[in-house]
Amino acid sequence: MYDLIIIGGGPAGIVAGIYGARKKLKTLILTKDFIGQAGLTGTIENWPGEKNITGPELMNKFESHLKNYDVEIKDEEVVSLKKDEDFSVKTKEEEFNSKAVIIATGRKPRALNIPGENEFVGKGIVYCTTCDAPLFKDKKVIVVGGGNAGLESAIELTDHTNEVFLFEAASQLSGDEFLQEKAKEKGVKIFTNRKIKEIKGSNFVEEVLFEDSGEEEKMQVEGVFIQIGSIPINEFIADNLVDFNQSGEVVVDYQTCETKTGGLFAAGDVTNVRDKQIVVATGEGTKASLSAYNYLRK
Amino acid sequence: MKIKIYTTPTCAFCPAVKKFLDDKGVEYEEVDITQDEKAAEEMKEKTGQMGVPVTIIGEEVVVGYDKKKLEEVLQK
Repeated sequence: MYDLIIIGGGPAGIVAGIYGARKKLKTLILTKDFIGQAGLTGTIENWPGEKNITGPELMNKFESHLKNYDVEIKDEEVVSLKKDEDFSVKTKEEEFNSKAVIIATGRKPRALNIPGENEFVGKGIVYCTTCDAPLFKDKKVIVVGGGNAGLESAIELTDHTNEVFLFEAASQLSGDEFLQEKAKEKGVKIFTNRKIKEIKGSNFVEEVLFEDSGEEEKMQVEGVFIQIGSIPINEFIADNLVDFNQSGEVVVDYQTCETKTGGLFAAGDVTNVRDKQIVVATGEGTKASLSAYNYLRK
Repeated sequence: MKIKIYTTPTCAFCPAVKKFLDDKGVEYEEVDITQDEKAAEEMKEKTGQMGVPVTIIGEEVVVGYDKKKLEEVLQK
């Protein structure tokens, strides 16, 4: 039996772990890796003490800081979280029990949920532009999504290829004007009212079927970069343990990070905290961990 | 056993795979596909993948940062 189980190894989970260890709680962290969304970020310039650091570098530092403490870590993926008398956290491999839990699973890229999408991940479909853009040198690619992430992806891709299309399903782009102008300057061909319907190919992506203002169309492409936002990772949480807002985020008390279930806390981007920032997530992890400590002392 | 890892300088999971292999104390060859276009094609052909990291251990291909699979293949 653990005092505290922390689910997730991003900034919120890591800092929650550090505080758990400092409070001498018997703590277990369950996470597949210490990368999170921060580790997938190119450059970070708003973490105090580091004027300019890459996402992977910062996460490496976080990880080794955490590992300085006496915290148990298992690289297992959580599949269910329930509460009977105590909390039961199941991974694919094992079951663990604890008196308190912090959910710090963060977010993952939103999928289009269309035919061909799962099939071609890593075969032309890309969610992390920074990671894989160089592989599409001189190839024709589509970026899906006209928000900031989509525009930034498209701009980044113009360093590698001249044939960058951007499709937005709505009638307007939602990204900053500044980025829209920059994308146009860089030669990105921008289309609104274009909704992707299906991705086709044999070994790799070859063709995209889409609706253009209601008309069925298709286009030969080799890369599809999906940038339509992110969703909280919450599927493993049993019904009735927490309240979700309309976006599927775990609703927490802003002072304590406690959910509606006693002893169950949540921190960082998986919650309804307004600002999804590394600095905020680490603060939320701290709040959750100290609240868990207070809860356990009762 | 020969180990080869395909990377790009901006890929987040590439350092994670390299760190994993370093911790195991195994030697590997890193191929930065942005420096070597032929290598990109070679990777596509051999592994059916268009995303990094891809690690080739002997005959086996490990896609992404899949700790369990890397562990399993290394033990063989």
